[in-house]
Amino acid sequence: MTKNTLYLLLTAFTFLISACEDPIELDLGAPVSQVVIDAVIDQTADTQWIYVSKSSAYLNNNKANSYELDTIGIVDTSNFTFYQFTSQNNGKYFFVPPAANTFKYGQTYQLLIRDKGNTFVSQSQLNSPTTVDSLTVKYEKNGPFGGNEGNYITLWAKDKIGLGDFYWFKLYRNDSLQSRASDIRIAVDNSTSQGGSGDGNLFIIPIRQNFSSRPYKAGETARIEILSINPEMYIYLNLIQVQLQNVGLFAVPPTNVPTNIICINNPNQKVLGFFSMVGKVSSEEITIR
Amino acid sequence: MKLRLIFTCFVFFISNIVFSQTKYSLSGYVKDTANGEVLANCNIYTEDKKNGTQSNNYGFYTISLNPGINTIYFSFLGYNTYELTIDIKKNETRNIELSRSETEITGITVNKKRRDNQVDKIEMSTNNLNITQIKKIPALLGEVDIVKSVQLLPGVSTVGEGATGFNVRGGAIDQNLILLDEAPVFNSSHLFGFFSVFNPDAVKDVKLIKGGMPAQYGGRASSTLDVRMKEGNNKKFAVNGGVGLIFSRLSLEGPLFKNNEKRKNKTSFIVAGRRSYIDVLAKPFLRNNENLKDAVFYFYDFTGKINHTINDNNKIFFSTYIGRDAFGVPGAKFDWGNSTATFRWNHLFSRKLFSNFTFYYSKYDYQLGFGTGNNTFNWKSNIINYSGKTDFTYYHSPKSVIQFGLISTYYIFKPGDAVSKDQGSTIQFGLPNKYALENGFYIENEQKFSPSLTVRYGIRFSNFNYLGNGTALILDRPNPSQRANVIERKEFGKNEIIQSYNIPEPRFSANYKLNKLSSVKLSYNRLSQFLHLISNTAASVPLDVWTPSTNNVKPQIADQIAVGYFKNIGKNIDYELSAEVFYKELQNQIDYIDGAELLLNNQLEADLLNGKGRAYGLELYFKKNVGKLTGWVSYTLSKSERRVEGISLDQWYPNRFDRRHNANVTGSYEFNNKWSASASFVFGTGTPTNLPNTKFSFQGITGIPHNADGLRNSVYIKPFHRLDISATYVHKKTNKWESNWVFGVYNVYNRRNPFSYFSQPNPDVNNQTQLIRYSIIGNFIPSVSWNFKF
Repeated sequence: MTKNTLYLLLTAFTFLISACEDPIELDLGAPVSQVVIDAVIDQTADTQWIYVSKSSAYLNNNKANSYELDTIGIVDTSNFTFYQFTSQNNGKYFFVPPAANTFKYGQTYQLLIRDKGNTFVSQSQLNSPTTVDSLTVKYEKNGPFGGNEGNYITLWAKDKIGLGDFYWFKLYRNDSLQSRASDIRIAVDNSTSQGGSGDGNLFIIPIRQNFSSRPYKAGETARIEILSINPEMYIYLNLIQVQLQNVGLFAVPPTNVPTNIICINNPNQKVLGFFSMVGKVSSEEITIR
Repeated sequence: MKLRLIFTCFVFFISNIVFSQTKYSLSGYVKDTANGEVLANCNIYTEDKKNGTQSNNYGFYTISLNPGINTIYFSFLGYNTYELTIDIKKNETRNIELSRSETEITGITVNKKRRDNQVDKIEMSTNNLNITQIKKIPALLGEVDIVKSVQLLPGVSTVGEGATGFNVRGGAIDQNLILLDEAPVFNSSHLFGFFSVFNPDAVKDVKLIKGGMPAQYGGRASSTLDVRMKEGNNKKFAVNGGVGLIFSRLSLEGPLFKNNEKRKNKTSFIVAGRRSYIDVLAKPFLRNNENLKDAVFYFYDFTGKINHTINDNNKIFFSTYIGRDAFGVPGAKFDWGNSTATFRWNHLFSRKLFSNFTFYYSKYDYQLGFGTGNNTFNWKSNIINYSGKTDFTYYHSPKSVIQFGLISTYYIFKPGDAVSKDQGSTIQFGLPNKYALENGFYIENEQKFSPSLTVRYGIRFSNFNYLGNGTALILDRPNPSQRANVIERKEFGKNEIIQSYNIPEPRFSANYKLNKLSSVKLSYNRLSQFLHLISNTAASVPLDVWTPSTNNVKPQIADQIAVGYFKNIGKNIDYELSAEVFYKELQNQIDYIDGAELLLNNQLEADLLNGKGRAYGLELYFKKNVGKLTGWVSYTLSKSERRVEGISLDQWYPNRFDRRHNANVTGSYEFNNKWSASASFVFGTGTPTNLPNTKFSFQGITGIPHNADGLRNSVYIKPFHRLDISATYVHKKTNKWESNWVFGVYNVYNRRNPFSYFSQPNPDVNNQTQLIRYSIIGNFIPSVSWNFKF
């Protein structure tokens, strides 16, 4: 919605007077680098990953530094089983579940980190995934919102029955995640706002339509994962998207995207990032003709 | 407290009644001789200058005189002073017509006694601009702009060029009450903020009140911009028009029933319209552009007014305004606009009691739509109000003028009515309407205690009721910086009071004349505001929604104190100088949690935070009124901050529109009858903004901005300055026909003034981030327009 509005406003505006955008250098001080935890764990039998890094200065375009913690893992809060993740010594930690559904729907899990005498925790409930029917390809002469001519993906899937289901749609092109801000697509029930009347229905337009900010070419493959997330994760992704697209005349004051990971022994110890358990379902991969 | 104040007022009134002596009154209307337009704020005074008054907003005056021969002067800036000698034996009525200074008529005028009024007037923190002055100021694309002219006054700033509205003394844009013939206008801009919605051909004058607010005005926390429309020429039929790069304008005005001796000079009208035509011009060029060939892009406004004098004691007016902006590209459309209608009746109960009854309707609405055929999304929002009010002016004695009145306004808010059609099936997202009733009562006395001391004191009672149908949300906010939890919803029936507020607002101004040419003024006022524009963008957008005070959203309250020194220089008051300092405290300022959802959110109140604000500053103003070179210099030093629990580590932080230094110079020079030129230069230090200083990645999404300090608005944008010039060539001027060409250049030295800075992922290089300086206008903009009148 925000994206559509912004597009329309900008089109109208640039029509008359072309505003100018010039890259600038600005002294933003010497900010403190913080540890970033990226932990999204699903119920499948796939290898599960947690990525740990350090935040970098905003105008530093080198690759972010990785960071090694003392221990990291997740705890099943029903029986206190600890699933420790193994370090690859490059900030990447992995865990291979013995089987699918080792992590159970409806169960709450706790992220547990110990590092330099500090303990960080976070909690997340694993929600069951929805089901997916299929992907179709549509050739659009005018891409969405000024996009190029080409193939765009439509997702045919329905919201779970019951109100308050939150989703994140991850689009893959040739097995690579499309991760531009404009590729972030999320939903509440089958639409974009809570309390809609379309519970259990197909995801509405524009959610189900025009996946990808640039069109697909013949021969490329497409696949969409639907993650059942919790409301906190929805807000988190929404904020990230807003912050990354917060440009131009109608920009809102940039705000920090708040983490859900806290230090229990020292509230002044801050980390960035997010922990979420997700119920994942994936579409069949299709090849564009 | 309240009772004591009322009692004090009462005692003042009584004491005046007891000590009044027998006098006669002279009353009537002051008008422009050329077109019959009434002149408001005309100075009327006796030869010894001991007795004086001003015409009111409707041009009506009344002055008490001793029996015998009296000489009275009628003086108005830009007009020849009129001298009336009259033998007063009974109450008299005289309608006075003043002629413009450039068309001097000998015999009845006395230029040497021209007297300005800033030193004598009680009002402070107030600027009057008439349309002749406004038309001289160089304007973007040659389009005369009332709001842009107001921005050149001291104490007024904007967040940047192209931004909607204006900020007065550190207040937000929704804190300005913008009145067009007494009806509030909720969005003063066309094309976001590039042009104001007021057609200069239909406007007579503009008054900006920043402090010492008279009790008759209320409902906004910072200022009142009172825009008065012309009444229409009641002497002869006249046509005004112009062709510019953006708009074409045409206005017609004139008397009705001119040939009927009985009804002659009683009724006049004006209709004025403007429309942009860039869409028409651009059409051929866009034929081959798939995205834009069916684009819709225009804005227009229409202003109309008719007035009729029934007799000496009764006069009625009807005025209306309709304006609209529309944009659309295939699959998407967007339009918005204001409409107002005002009916007024001026009635003289007696020579001493003038009354005005006003009924108005005002609406601001927008709609937004996406999609085609079976798959669409449409969204509408509006604010409507119906209002009735009465204002009385009681000319009690030469030393006391009492004003009192009542106002009642009923509001309907439609915060968002969204309908989505998906494969033909319809889904409603609408938010319920909200309703409110606002009432006000005021009484105020302007008292001359001595020839040098005048005091105006009064009070306004504001009452606001948030009404049903509606749902009151009971909130609990465990963490001040985060979304509140809704712990209860209470349903209310139609017209049931959900929440009510009563706020007494004392108003006080004093003028102490040090000598004939200088005075010191002091004022205090409290203002309350029950309507709030929900917006957290740097520049307001047409999509922003007005919302009433509720059980959670408290009324904004501003207390302001101002002190000023006013001086006239030169024997004909060639120059005016003023210096003012002000201090303002604001309660219940609205702010937003991080990531607030402001649109289509049925729990909006859970995302709003409540804080306090303060602003203070110094304003200097120097104006040259006469001669070939006229114009003014203004300078403002000010600071505007707020403190909101949960934001910026709970510390005071600068408002987005905080500007430390702001200086403007504007002037025009008349070379001869053919040529004149104008220039204006504006300078302002930068406004503060938020920028991230670090970034991180999450799930493959790179460049997520983060500010490790947690402070809001901590980086100041670089200063802003711009020079605009224009030249006017009078092509032809006869008694019947006049035309001129206006050539202008906006942003003469081609400066890219920063409007904002923002951070973004580099669109050309993956996984890199950059900072962008955003300039609304990136080059100089020449313009030419042609104006005519006959």
